[in-house]
Amino acid sequence: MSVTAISLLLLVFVSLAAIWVVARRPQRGSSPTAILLGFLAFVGFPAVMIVLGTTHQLEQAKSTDFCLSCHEMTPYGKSLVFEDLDLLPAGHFQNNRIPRDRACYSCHTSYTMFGGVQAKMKGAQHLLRHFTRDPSEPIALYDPFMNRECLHCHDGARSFEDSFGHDGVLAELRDESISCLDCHENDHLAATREETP
Amino acid sequence: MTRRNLAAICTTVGSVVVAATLWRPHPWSFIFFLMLGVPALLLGMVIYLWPRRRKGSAGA
Repeated sequence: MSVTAISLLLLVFVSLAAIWVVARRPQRGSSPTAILLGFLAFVGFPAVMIVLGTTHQLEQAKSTDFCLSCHEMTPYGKSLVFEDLDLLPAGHFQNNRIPRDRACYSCHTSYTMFGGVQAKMKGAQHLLRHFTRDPSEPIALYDPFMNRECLHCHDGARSFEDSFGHDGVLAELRDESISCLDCHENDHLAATREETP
Repeated sequence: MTRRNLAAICTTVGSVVVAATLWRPHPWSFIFFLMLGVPALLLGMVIYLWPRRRKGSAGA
């Protein structure tokens, strides 16, 4: 449990205690202490709860468990634990190249100023779609996957720049004129296909 | 029921929902927090802060 969650839980208990104290009084108090307690119980604590709760929920929405909790994502989750490490998701997840608890978000957010916000907006659209109609089949990205997301981690790494395949094409990779996925297999559904007879 | 008690009910419901949605990272937690927890807390605030009518001023 994160520090935010523990703080929030403590705050909820304090807030409930304050509400109980205020609500037990027969009349709305007029002393400064009563006014302050009432203000904290009904305005101050709830405001902090909304801010902390929103932060916590947005952080939780980045977790791998959150993404894979929808059944539509099950085949994509299988690709993380697939045996073939040449497959990009499997290699990244099993070799700890990305944080395991944020596997989906690490690659599928945009590393721009408002990338996190855009990812959340798209996530909200996915939720709406999940509850109103079926998702497109097969599930597709909104835009082609950009090298920027890969280079956020790999650019500048010696293992990346010195490797045999990259040394001649670094400029093209950086200006997006060729895609990382032209050479690196990124078939999330490979694991599911292999299971199907 | 007094306005203060109504505000207390809303804030209690909101607080309990916020606490309940802490446990698991799941879309339902997100939806309950956003659609029930936050509105209940905001409603409690609004009810508590809504200006009181002064005695004798109504219908003057």
